[in-house]
Amino acid sequence: MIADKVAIIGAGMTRFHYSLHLGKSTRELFVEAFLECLESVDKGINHKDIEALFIGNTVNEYFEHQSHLSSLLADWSGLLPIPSTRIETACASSSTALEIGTLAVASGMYDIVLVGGVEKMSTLQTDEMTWALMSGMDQAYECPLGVSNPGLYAMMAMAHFEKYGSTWEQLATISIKNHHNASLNPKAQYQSEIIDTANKIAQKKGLSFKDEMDFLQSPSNPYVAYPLRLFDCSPISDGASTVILASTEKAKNFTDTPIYISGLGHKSGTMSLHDRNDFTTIPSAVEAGKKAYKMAKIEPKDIDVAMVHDCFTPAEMIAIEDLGFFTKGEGARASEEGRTSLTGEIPINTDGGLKAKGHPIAATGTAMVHEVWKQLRGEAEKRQVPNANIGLLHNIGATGGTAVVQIFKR
Amino acid sequence: MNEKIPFTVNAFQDFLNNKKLMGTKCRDCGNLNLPPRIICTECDGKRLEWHEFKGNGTLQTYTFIYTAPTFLKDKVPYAVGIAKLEEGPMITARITDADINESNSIDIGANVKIEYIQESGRNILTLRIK
Repeated sequence: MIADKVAIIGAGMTRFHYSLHLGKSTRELFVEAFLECLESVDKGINHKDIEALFIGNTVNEYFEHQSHLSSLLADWSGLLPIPSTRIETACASSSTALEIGTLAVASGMYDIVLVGGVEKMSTLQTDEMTWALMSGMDQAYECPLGVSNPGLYAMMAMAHFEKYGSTWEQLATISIKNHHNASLNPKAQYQSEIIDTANKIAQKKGLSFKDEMDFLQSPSNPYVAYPLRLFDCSPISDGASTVILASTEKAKNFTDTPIYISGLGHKSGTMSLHDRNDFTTIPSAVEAGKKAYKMAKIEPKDIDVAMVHDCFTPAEMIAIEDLGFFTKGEGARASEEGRTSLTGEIPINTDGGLKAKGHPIAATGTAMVHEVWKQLRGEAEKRQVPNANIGLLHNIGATGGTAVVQIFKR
Repeated sequence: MNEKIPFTVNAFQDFLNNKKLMGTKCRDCGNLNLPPRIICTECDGKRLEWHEFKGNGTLQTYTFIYTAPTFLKDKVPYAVGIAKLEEGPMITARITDADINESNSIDIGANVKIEYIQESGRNILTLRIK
């Protein structure tokens, strides 16, 4: 069995941001995350200790016309001549890299490996970026119709509204909560509450908003794909994240507080949304969750903190249902009632989520790991969940063509 | 007549260009797939034949796209939906006769008919709400 055979001994990431990294390319972003990762190892680590590299990257050919990233990043990180491999499962690329790295260590092939992800997105205009990210959808049977990634999640939201009576106003509370959490996270792209953004816009444009909801329902928060507006969507971001994995035996040489990898779930689903019987759930995520819970020998109620794939607000609603935290159909109401806030019964996306922390596609998975690692070690500062011992991540490729669920224990 | 045409994306598109909505039927279990498959999604059967769909169905969900990819950025906002055909399979299509200014202008569950419009030199699927 693989459960608890491999541990995280270090984690590091760049701040996720749109404009901050304009002058940097993927290699500088990755090395920045890697250097912080090295520094994070309690008892220190040398480059020479790392035996293999697995990195996630999604569509760098569109953004930088640079493929063969695995070797480039090994080279620039000073890790030659270790083997390096790039992994691509759309937005789930780096959690998949962590899975492969875990298997590589558990197999006995290596004692210590580096995993991570990087994405440089700010080089493209919004319409070009929309098209680049549509490469993760079905090119033949979805893309020609002009349905974008937010469009697909919008259709999932509409189906959920119809079937369960959930509302856009409830979804907006997910965005408000995630912005609040991000305001406490120095790595987040948006370190501000939505009300602060609203007040800034009001001042600039000579408008006034009664409250956050008044702003979110106004033309200042334009539609992207009805019923989803700009603040329902994760932003365009640049960033990188890295994690060092070690066998349980070796981990003790590097830290007294390793975080164990206890559950690995990974399933595939139909590429096209229209090939699913029910648009209100992501079947691959449900199955990946079951697999991870079983391997970790725990149940949803045992999870203390979870990072879920909120690329769009309905994605978080569906995730917390699919993972068994809430009954099917109750996800939006649970969010509205504050049950997923930092002080709620199951804090979700304590780092601000994709919505507010940012979503440099392939860097997202190991950035979720970074936050779980911080939370389980009690190092999450103002956003710390008390007594967090078991953490979960849920990372989705596109609409669920890939679903990765992983469980970590202190 | 269609027996020798391979089950490809190109063949599906060629049929669309002739205003035919073609998928596959499994000779082993009778399951219908749209778009065409090479392996039956129900029984993994490999003995498939072309099947023409009538194009009548019901709307399952929809959205209005305001932020579009480059090739459609001059057409925003436009509507897209998923229809469940009376034969069973579901398919994504543009919606051409939606009043996009009214958020509740489309009813999920409405009867729809598949039609075709030409775009970028080829036919794409559209839904007309009945």
